[in-house]
Amino acid sequence: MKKLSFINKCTAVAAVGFLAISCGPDEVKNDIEAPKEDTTATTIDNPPVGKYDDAIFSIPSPIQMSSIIAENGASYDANMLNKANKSDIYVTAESQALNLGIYGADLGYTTLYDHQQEALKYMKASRKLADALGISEAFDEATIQQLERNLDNKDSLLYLVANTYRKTDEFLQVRDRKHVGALIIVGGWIESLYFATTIDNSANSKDVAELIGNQKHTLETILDKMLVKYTDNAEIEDLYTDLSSIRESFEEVNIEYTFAASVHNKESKTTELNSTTTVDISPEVFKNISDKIALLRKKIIK
Amino acid sequence: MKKIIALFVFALSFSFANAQCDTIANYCHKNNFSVDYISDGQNYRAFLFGDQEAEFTTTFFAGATYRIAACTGFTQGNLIFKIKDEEGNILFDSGEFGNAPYWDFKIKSTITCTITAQLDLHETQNGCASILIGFKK
Repeated sequence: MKKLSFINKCTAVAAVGFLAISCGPDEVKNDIEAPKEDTTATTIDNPPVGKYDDAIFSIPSPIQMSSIIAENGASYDANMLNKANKSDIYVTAESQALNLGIYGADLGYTTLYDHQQEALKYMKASRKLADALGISEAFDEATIQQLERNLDNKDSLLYLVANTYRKTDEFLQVRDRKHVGALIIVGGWIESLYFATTIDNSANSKDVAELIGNQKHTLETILDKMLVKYTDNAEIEDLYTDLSSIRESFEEVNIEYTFAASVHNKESKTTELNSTTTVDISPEVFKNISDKIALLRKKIIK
Repeated sequence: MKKIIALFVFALSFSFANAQCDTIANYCHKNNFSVDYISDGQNYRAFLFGDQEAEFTTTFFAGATYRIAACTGFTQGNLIFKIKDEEGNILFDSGEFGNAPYWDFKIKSTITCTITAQLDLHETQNGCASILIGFKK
């Protein structure tokens, strides 16, 4: 892999920066037709200042994890959710960020189960925490109004909620507040893992057991790529220690992978990924993970 | 004095590069995702020079259909993305499909994969690589 010298890097970045100003967006050059609903390129308004680092990480979407739970027949359980009226009790930025992630997962869950009025409460609770974190630009009044206008349309609402959190992530990345973004994502992951381990008979559902078992890789990403950089912060170090204890339990989960060739369809621009994994998670390990997640989540939501 | 100017240019450049990345993620989302696909709530991005490669690991869940979109700059098709399994086998390479800016994936069994992104050096020598993932309801 080619390595560029520091001077070359500076020159290259400078060139790109100035080109971004002088040239602006090119025309879309693409032989594959893109979706049509919105083809307007965003313009550069108030260029933000920030830094880049090498860490890129992926954590499963809380909405998708709730969706898998719902598809497995789990009934709606409001008792699993954090109370929407507690946003004021979270006073540190770390606590606010984690609970914004938790409220985001609760918002996704209530939306998936068509509990619109509950969803509205979680939207407002999320907005309060976003304000407290100084990220109201990403979670602004216009967004809330747009969400309210789509309360009766679950599909649009899910799209908007997910996109609001994506924009929040983007807003924090570009302003060099990645640790806040990381905590929001971790909060959402803890809440959705709590759902998965709490629903009735979850241990007996193959899909849900696989969903939980596969979080072994996710937890490694959270600890080794996301949080490890911020452990000089006492609250994050505490979270890191708690999650490390959960990792010890996950080490008892066995995942076996078997390769199978993919099948591509150029016409539909679709590929079937046919490789498989089998997850072996014993009832004891499942209970151990469930108990530790419940304890950590309780500590975070207070 | 030269050092100060160099630092100023470097800081200014990062500001513009960052702004470019910010803008590209929105552009990429607007051009490649319809309401059928729900974002996973994250932006995967890195500023690449020459043949540098960015990568991250993600989990695809059984039974789901995912859309992955890859953009750099405001011209679609300049970023090549690949999906590799945990053994390093290439499961998909957008370079084999005309640098397709987006592609859909049907998942048979829950698997953890690595996604890599690299510039098409025939088209561009540097730029912000932005990858977005959405799943179909």
